[in-house]
Amino acid sequence: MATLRDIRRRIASVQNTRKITKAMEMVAAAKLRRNQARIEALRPYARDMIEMMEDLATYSEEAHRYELLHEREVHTVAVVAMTGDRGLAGAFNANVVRKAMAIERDLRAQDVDTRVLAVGRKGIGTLTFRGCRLERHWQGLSDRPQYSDAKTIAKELIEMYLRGDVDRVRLVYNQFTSPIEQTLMDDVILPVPREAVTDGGDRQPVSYIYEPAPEVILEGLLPAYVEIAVYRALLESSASEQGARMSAMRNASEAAEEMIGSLTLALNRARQAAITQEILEVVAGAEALG
Amino acid sequence: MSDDRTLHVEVVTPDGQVYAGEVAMVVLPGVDGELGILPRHQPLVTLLGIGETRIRTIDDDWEYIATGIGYAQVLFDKVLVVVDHGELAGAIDIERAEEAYRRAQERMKESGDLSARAEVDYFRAEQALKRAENRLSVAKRRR
Repeated sequence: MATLRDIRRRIASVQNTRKITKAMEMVAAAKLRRNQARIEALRPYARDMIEMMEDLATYSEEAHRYELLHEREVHTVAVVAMTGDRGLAGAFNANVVRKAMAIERDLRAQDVDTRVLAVGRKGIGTLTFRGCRLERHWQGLSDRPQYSDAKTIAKELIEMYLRGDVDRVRLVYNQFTSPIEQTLMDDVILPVPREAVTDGGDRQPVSYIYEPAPEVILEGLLPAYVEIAVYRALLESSASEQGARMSAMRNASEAAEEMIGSLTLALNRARQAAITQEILEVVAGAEALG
Repeated sequence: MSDDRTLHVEVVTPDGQVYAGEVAMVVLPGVDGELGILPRHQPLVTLLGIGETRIRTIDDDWEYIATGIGYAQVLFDKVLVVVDHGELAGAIDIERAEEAYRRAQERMKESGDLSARAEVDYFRAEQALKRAENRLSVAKRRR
C-alpha cells in the first residue's frame, strides 16, 4: 500500500505536468490565432494572382506551350510530406507520414518511380527511420512559415520538374478545418493544374496593353501559383499543428485533472486510515495502563 | 472615389496590403524598364521585376516601396500592384538587409564550381543578392 508521502509526491508530479500541458495549450491557441490571421492576409494576393492568370490565359495564344502547365506521361512522382517540427500534437505528424508512405507504396505497385521529400523535423525523422531515402528536406519552418520559405521550396520543386527528374509533384499536408479537426490533403501542384489557372469564366473583356506579351507575363507568373500552393500548405499545416496540439494538450490536462482527483481520494482514505490507526493505538495504550 | 487627377493605388503581397491610397503618379519597375502611370492611363497589364515602386502622393511627396516579382494592372484610374514582397522604405531593416547582402555574396563565391547543384545555389544566391540590393537602395531614399 502506498504511503501518504508517496501519494503526495505523485499528486505534486501530476500537478506539474498539468501546468505544462495547460501552458502548452494556451501557447498553441495564441499561435493558432496568429496563423489564421496570416492565412487571411494571403487571401487577396492569391485571389488577384490567380484571377490575373485566368485573364492572361484567355488572351494568350491557344497554341502557346507553357512548361509548367504541360502534362507529361508520368514515370516519376515526387511526394512531399509536410509535417511539423515538434511532436506532442496527437496524431498530426503520424497521419501525414502514414499517408505519404501509402501513396508511395501505391505508386510503386503501379511501377511508377518515386522521390520522397519532407518538410518538418518530425517527418524527416520518421521517414528516415522507416528507411526512406529523402531526396530533399527542409525544417525549421513550421512555427512561423515565411513566403520566402515557400519560394525556396517551390523553386526547387520547379527545377526538379523542369529538369525532368519528376513528372508530377504531390503535396501531402494537413488542412485546417477547425481547431479540433484537420483534413489530410493530397494535392498535385506540378504540373500546375490547367483548370486552376484557366477557368476564367465570362469576364468583361477589356482591351489591355500587355507589356510584354500575355504569354510572357503568364510564363513569369506561373511559378507564383506553385509558391502560393506551397505557402498556403505551410500555413494550413502550421495552423493544423497548433490546433492538434491544443486539443491533445487539453485532453492531457483533463486526464491529469482526473488523475489528481482519484489520487486525492486515495490520499484522504489513506490519511483517515492512518488517523483511525493512531486513535486505536492510543485507546489500546490507555486501556493497557488502566 | 477618385477624380480626374488622382489614381487609386493598392500594393498587395502574400503578407497583406502594404500600401493603399489616392496618388498623383506611380512609377513601376517593369521587367523591360520603368513605367510611369498617370491618371487616365490606358488599361495595362505588365510584368514587374525586383525593383523600386515610386509613388507621387497628392501632396507632391514621394513614397518608395521595395517590390519583388509580380504584376501590375492599370484599369480606370486604379493601379493594382501584386508582388511577392513589398516593403516601404521606412520599414526596411537596413542591418538585416546588409546581413542578407553579405551572406548572398559569400554563397555566390562558395558555389564556384560548376556542378548542377552549385548552379542552382548560385542562381538562388544571385536572387537573394538582388533582393537585398534592392532593399538597401530603396532604404536610402528615406529622409
